Amino acid sequence: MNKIKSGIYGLNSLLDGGLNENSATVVIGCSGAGKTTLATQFIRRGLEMGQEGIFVSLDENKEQIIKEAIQMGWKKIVDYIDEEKLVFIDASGHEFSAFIKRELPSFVADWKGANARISIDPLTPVMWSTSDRYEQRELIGFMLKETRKVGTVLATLEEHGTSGDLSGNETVIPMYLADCVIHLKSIHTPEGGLQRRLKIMKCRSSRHSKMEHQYSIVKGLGLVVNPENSSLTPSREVPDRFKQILHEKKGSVPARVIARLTEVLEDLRDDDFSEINLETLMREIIAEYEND
Amino acid sequence: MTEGIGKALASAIKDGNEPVSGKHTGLIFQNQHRRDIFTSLTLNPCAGLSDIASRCRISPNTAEWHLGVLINAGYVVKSTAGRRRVFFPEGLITHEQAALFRVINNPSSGLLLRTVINKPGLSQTELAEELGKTRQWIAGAMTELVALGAVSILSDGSLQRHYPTRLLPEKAEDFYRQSKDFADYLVRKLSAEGGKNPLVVKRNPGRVVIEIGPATGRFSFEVGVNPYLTCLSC
Repeated sequence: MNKIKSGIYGLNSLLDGGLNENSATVVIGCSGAGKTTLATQFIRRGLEMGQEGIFVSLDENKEQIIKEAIQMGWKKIVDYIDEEKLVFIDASGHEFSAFIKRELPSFVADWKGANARISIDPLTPVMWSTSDRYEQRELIGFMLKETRKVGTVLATLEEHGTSGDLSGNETVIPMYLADCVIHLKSIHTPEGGLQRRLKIMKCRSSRHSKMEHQYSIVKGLGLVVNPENSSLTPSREVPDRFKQILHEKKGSVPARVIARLTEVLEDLRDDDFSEINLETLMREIIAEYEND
Repeated sequence: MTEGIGKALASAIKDGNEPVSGKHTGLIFQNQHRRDIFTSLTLNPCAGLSDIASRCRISPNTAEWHLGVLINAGYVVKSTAGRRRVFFPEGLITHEQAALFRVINNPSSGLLLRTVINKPGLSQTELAEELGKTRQWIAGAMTELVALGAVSILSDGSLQRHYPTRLLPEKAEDFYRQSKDFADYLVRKLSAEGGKNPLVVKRNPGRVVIEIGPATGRFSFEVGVNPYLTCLSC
C-alpha cells in the first residue's frame, strides 16, 4: 500500500508514514475544530507534489476558504487557482447528491487513475440530502468507492450533539464506510482552557497510533499534531520473541504452519501485539492444529 | 496524472443538476460548452480534440467530457484520421464526405489550404515564408490537398504556383440540399426530446439559428449547416 504525505505536521508518523493512496478519509469534528484547515493542508501538500487539487465546498463559499487559507499563511493558493491546478467547487448537498447518482460513474470512467486529491467539506449536507438511512449508506458508499478511483479523498464531517458522541447517523455511516477516520475533539479544562485532541479511530490496511494526541492550530502552519506517546513503534522485540517460541514448540504444530507464521512475523512490529499474550497465543495455535 | 480533472468535475456537477434528458427540449444543449462544441463542429467537422478545445476556449479534458455526452446522446460521431480522433455532427456529413473534411480541417493541411485560398498563386518557397514553415513541411501537407483535388499546381517558368480549384465552391453549392436536410433533422431530433418545440428563427446558406429550451427559459443556438462554406469564408 503506497503512502502519501498528509500535509499535517505530526500526523504522518501516527499513520505509519501517511495516508494510503487512493483511500477515503473522514475527519470528524465540531465547529472550530480545524476540519477545513486540515482539508486545505491535505490539498496543499498534493499541489506541492504536482497533484491536482479539488476542493468541493458544500458549506462556505470559496472566497471565504481562500481568505482563511491566505490568513493561515498559504499565499500561493491564488497562483494554483490561476494555473487551474486547484479548483474550488461550490455546491449544495442536493447538487452533489444529484451528481453522485447521475454523473459520477461516467466521470470516473473518464478520469480513472488521475491521482488527484479531493476534499469534500463538509460531507454532512450530502447525508442530509436524503432522510432514508439505507439511501444514505448507498449514496456515501457509492461515492467513496468511485472517487477513490480518481485519487485520494478526504471528507470532513460535522459533529453535532454531545462532544465525543459519534453514534449519530450522520457520523456512523461515513465512519463505517471510510478507510480512515480521524476525530478532532476539543476538551475544556477545569482551569477554563481548551485542549485539542486528535485520535485516529481506524485506518484500514495500515498501522496507526491508537492514542489521543494533542494538536494546535498555528497561523502559517495549520494543524500541528504532537506525535509523542504514539503507540506505533518500530521495535520488533515481540515478533522476534514469538519467533523463538514458535521454534521451541515446532513439534506441536505442523511444519507448514510454522513456516507460514515465521514468514508473517517478518512484517510485524511490537504494536501489532499490543494486547496479546504470547504464551496464550501459542497455546491457541497448538490447540487449533491438535488433531491435524 | 491527467490534467484538468478539477474543471471537468465542476462542469459535471453542474451538468448533473440539469434535468434528465428526455424530459425537456434541447436539454443536452442547455450547457453552454456543449452548444459551443456542437456549433464548432458544424462549422469545422472532423476537428480533433485540441482544436475543438482551443476554439471553444476550454481545456481539452473538459471538451472530451462534453463530447462524450454528445456522442452518447447521438449528436456527435467519433472517427479516426490516422492516429487522431476526430469528431463530426451526426447527420451533417456522410462518412465519405468526412474523408474530405479530415484533410480540410487537419491542422497542417487545413492551414495550408486556407492560405492558398486567401493568397492564390504562391510558390512553395513563398508559402513556407508566409506560414513560417519549411519547404518540406509545405510539400508534405500539399500532397494530400493535391490528391484531394482542392489545390492545383501550375508551372510559371521555373516556379510552381499553387491555386485553389473549384472543388470547394462546387461542393458548397451541391451541399445546399443537404444543408436543409440537416437543419430539419436537427430540429426533429431536438423536438423528440420533448417540451416546447424548437423553432428556426433565422436561416442563411451557411447557418441557422434555432430557439430551444423550456417555455420558461428559451435560448438561441446557432449551428452551421454548410461546412464547405466555412472553409471558403476563412
